[in-house]
Amino acid sequence: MLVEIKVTNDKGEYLIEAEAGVPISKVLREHQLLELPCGGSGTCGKCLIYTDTIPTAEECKRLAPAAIESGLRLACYTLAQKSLCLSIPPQAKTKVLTAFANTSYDFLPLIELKEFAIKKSTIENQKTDVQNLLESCSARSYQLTLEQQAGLPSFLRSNETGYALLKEGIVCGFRTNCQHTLLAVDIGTTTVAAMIMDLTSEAVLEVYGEQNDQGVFGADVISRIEHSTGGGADGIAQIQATIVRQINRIKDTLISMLSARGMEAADPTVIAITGNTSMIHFLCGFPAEHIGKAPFIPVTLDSLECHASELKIDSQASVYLMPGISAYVGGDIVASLLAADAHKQKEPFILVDFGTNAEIVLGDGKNTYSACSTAAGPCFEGATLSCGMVAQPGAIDTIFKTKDGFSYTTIDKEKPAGLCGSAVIDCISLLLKSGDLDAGGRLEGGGELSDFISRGENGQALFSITSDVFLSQGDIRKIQLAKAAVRAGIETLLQESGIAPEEIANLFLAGGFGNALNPESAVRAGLVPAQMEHVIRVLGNAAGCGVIRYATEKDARSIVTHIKACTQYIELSTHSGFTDEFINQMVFPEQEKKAEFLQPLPHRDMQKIPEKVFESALDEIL
Amino acid sequence: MSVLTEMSEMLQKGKSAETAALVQKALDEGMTPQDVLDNGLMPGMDVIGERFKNNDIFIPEVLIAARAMGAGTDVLRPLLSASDAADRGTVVIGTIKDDLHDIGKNLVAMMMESKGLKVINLGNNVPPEKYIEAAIEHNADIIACAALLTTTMVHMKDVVSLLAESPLAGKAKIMVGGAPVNQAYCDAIGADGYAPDATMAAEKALELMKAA
Repeated sequence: MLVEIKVTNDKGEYLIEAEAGVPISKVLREHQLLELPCGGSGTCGKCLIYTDTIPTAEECKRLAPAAIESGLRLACYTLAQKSLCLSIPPQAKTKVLTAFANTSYDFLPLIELKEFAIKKSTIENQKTDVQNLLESCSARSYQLTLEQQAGLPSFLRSNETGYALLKEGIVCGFRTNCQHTLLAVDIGTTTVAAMIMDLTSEAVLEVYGEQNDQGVFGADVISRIEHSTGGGADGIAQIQATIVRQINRIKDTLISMLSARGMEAADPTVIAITGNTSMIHFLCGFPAEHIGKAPFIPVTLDSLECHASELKIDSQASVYLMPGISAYVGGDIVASLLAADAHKQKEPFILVDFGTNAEIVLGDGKNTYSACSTAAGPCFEGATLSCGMVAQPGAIDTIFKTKDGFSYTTIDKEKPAGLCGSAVIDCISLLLKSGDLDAGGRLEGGGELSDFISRGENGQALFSITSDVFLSQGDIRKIQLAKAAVRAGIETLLQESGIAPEEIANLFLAGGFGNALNPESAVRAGLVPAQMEHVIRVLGNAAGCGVIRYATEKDARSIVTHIKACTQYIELSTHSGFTDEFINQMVFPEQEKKAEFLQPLPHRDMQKIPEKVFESALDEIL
Repeated sequence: MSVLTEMSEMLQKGKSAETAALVQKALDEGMTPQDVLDNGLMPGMDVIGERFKNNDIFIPEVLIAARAMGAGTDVLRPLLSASDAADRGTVVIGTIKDDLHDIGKNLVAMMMESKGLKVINLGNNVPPEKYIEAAIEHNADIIACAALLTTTMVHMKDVVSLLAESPLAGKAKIMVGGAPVNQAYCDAIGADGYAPDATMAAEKALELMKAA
């Protein structure tokens, strides 16, 4: 039986229909009213809504009594029923990292815009419209869609001059507008960032970003792959339509931003897109099922070139998709390598892009690279921690020691609402230094900041930063896992390549978290090796910068092909040393002398432990 | 301090050599190997399990303590005959097909061992039929499946249905666990038990066996 549900959010009121008895989370997602970070499996507790239903046992377990009292419920545990009314709390807007460190390079866009005088066909010379176009702009051949060819007769007859879009002498478009712009898009799992560049003046005109609309299908790549395969036959079509719709919307937004500056609203002449392998699969409508489970096989990792219409992007431009390295080291990392001038590095370097999966690339300074991807989990992005939040206004982004304890700053100087990744690392560093956090990760107090450490409801130790922002013992355990994953990835690549930490001349950090990270805190928390503290280089939006270079740098395509060919992907899940290193790195670096059992064991020793531990000691006795 | 209390404390501190020496000392004082295991080593590991559950200690300390436990049982092994040890039950454990995550599952295996259960660890990427084959071979009481990905946890359902068709149907129980798994999922696929962490998984296993 279908029932009608009344939904209110900060934009208005909606009446939606749903089958009685089904969880309303999925219905709300279908209407793009609610994001389900866990994909609707009922595990993340983020599908908060206000309603007056009788709370279920699961809701009572997951929500504080005060929250239940205020009417908060979880959409995954609320079933559609007759005359259900609910409201959805407003969600934070996305702030996208737009700055990037750039170096100068030889500028030569993929597409040339060439002005030409239109010659008219005559009764004596009955050449076709296509022939006429080729002659008019002295091109050798053409690649035009049927739709473009259909528009040719009126174009040639209603204009005296035109502009041809040429790709290595091949006509791939024509227009009356002289605006020559690149739309560069980086499809991240969390955010979609785009820039528009004037290819005549070589200036980036506008930058814009949004939260990825695919968030409604789950916060992480795996939940989305799950939706694309398990969410019915049209799962992949839904996800593809979502990203295409979003790219179209972002494109229109950027164009209207140009109009607002007094520029003519014109279609971009070239579109370049990068993103992780799953995002590119979704955009292309490729089945992503086999990326989501071992042995992690993508459909393709090659670069792709097509007409916008083939991807249902509403434009006449040619679209270039960047190639990737593996299922979990995608085109965004290739773009970041290009932005970091990886191919010009004469000394060993490491590039890290922190995210739910942290991708790490080590270059030996002789043009060979090794890459890995390590599951850091979402805690550096603010998710899953008690008071974690994304780097948005109100997030505490730095915490530092002062004479009488500590102090902090927040993004946009707003009232503190939570902790973002950089502050989490600052916090760990601060507590280790004050002696309140031991190397094993126990928040034991007894140090200089013990006044700020208390016990929470279930006896769990809490470090209070403000009256309602804190870091709990459980949070610290999550951070230990994330930190260990990243650091063990770095150590594994160093060991594989036989390069010592002190030989690394540059440690490039890509992405928002890397941008805000305090190098000293990163070292104190053990996220990066101490030898690299002074060689940290922040790249900012490296993937965005890289995708622009892919479309505008002379030889960028061959550089990228070379980087891809010279990169060895190291699969960590089957790497014998990684698991030992991962466990080894769960402890924080020692400061001074510490109890013996908390000291990180030497690597060799740890290698023995799993064997010893996991062989069935008791089994042999019995 | 009694030798057993001291043994438990050394085990908790992860001191392998001291733990082994105290096991020897207890034997020299005339205690039975079973007594040393049940009242010295296992209580030490129980404390570790409890502290781990409460976030008071973390995976590395658990591993180091388990290593000390191993050093202690090494001393006891030649002295314990099969009949000496109380057979508390057998668990077949593994990470499900297409999933390569090992650490959490190994922690569960370790905690179960320290509760005196016999554990057959099948490793990772275990096809559903392999759980059943191993369970039949070892006459297991419990089959424990781990999954760390939403894309792989779906295979757990197949273990449940294969068990129902096997000679162990109605006898062996199925436990499920891992980051994306919860009680609701456990119920939905018809598994017998779920636990959110390694310590509770070991407790759950004992509970399921008692209920059987």
